[in-house]
Amino acid sequence: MSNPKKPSPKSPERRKDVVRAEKLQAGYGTKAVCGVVSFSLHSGQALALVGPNGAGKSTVVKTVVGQLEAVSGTTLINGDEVDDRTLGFRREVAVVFDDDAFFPALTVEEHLAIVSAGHGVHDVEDVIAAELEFFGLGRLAKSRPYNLSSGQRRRMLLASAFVRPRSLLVLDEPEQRLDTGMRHRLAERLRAEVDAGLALLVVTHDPDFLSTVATKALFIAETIHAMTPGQAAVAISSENPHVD
Amino acid sequence: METSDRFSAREIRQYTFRAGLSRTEGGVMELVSEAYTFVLGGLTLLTMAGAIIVGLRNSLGVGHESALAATVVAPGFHSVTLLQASATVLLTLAASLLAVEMTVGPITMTLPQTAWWLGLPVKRRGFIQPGFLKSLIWPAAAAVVVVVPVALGMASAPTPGRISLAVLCGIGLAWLLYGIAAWCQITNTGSWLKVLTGIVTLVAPLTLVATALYNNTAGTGAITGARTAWLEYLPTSWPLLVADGALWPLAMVPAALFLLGAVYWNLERITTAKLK
Repeated sequence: MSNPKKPSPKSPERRKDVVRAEKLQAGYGTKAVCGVVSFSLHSGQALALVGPNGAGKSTVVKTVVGQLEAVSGTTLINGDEVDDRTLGFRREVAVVFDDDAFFPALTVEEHLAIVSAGHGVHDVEDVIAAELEFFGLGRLAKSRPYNLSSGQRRRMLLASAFVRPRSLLVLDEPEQRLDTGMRHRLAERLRAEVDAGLALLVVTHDPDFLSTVATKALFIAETIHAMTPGQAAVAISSENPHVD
Repeated sequence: METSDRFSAREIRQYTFRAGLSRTEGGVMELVSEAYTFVLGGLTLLTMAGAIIVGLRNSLGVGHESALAATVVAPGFHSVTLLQASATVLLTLAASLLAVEMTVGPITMTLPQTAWWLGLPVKRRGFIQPGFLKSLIWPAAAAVVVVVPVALGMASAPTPGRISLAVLCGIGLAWLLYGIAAWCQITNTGSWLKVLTGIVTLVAPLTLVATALYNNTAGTGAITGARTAWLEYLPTSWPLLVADGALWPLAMVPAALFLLGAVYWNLERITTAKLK
């Protein structure tokens, strides 16, 4: 593995749409949970979805990556309709939701090894060691996930997205359960990766995270509003004044 | 990030399994615990079903004078044939089994498996297939648990060979239902079937109650058997026909295997959303 911190864009066409959502309505079955949304995301861009709890941000993201069926509309990823059954999709798209699901008998580093090996990463041990170090899990490499705190498990989940190649990274509230220092380091890391060509789709409630990482934002509610990250930071601060 | 040939799904599965197996906690003990639960659960179900059937036979006074058409009459009261009772039980169980399978999806993986395996860019058949094959055990076990006591309770007292064939037919039926639900899961179709099976699950037992309430044969001779004879030709009753001597219902077994084969070859078509 050359440099895990600098994934190169998939193609020379840096401005090509990595994600394009057209008149997408997310929901469950035929019941929509929010308004119709259209957006595009290029490599080197970070789109933040913000809005109050229950507005449908996570539902939108899950629909975008094909984990939920859209009520209406379409999503294209790298020009193809979303289909997580294709190898190309799974090769390019790294997704971290707040799934607290682990193999109880496997250690932290073994979980990460599954991801790295599954993606055919060179020098698996070095890559994992570097990410464990970055996420402050170095001394916990041999621990089982259910012996970790929820914040440490969250770090482990996030690390799993960085031990593999990716051209699109999708994160659902990555700041959750992270201490301030880790949040800051993660935001800086993501900023650097976006600058290097990564496309990032992130749901967040954290104004600082938003202003550091996002290049554009959507406020999700019954109707959808496109905003600058600065406007979105103000909007979520007024929605949730207790965000720390 | 440099990459080379990826591991196969089989290798990743084996790595996961062996890494877990190398530890006492969560490895061998987990397997032993799973097997223990499986065996104990099966024995408990079988014992309970057998006890219920024996109790019903005694209380209904089932004799040896006839087979499926034997009328079980509570003295001076309403009548329900053994055929109708058995057919209704099988129809209800089959509909409820299918309704549950249509709801939860018969092809399943554990949460860690879906979370850590399905996102990998390898052929997913190697991840899905073991769960699919393993999950065939449950409908087969359910068929044994249901068909054996029902066949033992039949008035014709079928031979062990006939009961075995009836069980085989029951397994065919359970696998056919499983195959239908699995095909719907793979192709993301059949929501209407879920509604239909839900209705059948509710309505089928009511037919038994309605017969008992309104089809009073006391003093007029048994007419219930004639009116409910069609029930035995529903596929859900075919194991009973086999127990009673027919062989043609065993055609259900190759039909089920054919459908399961189609499901097997299309396992890669299932989406992550449908496996969760």
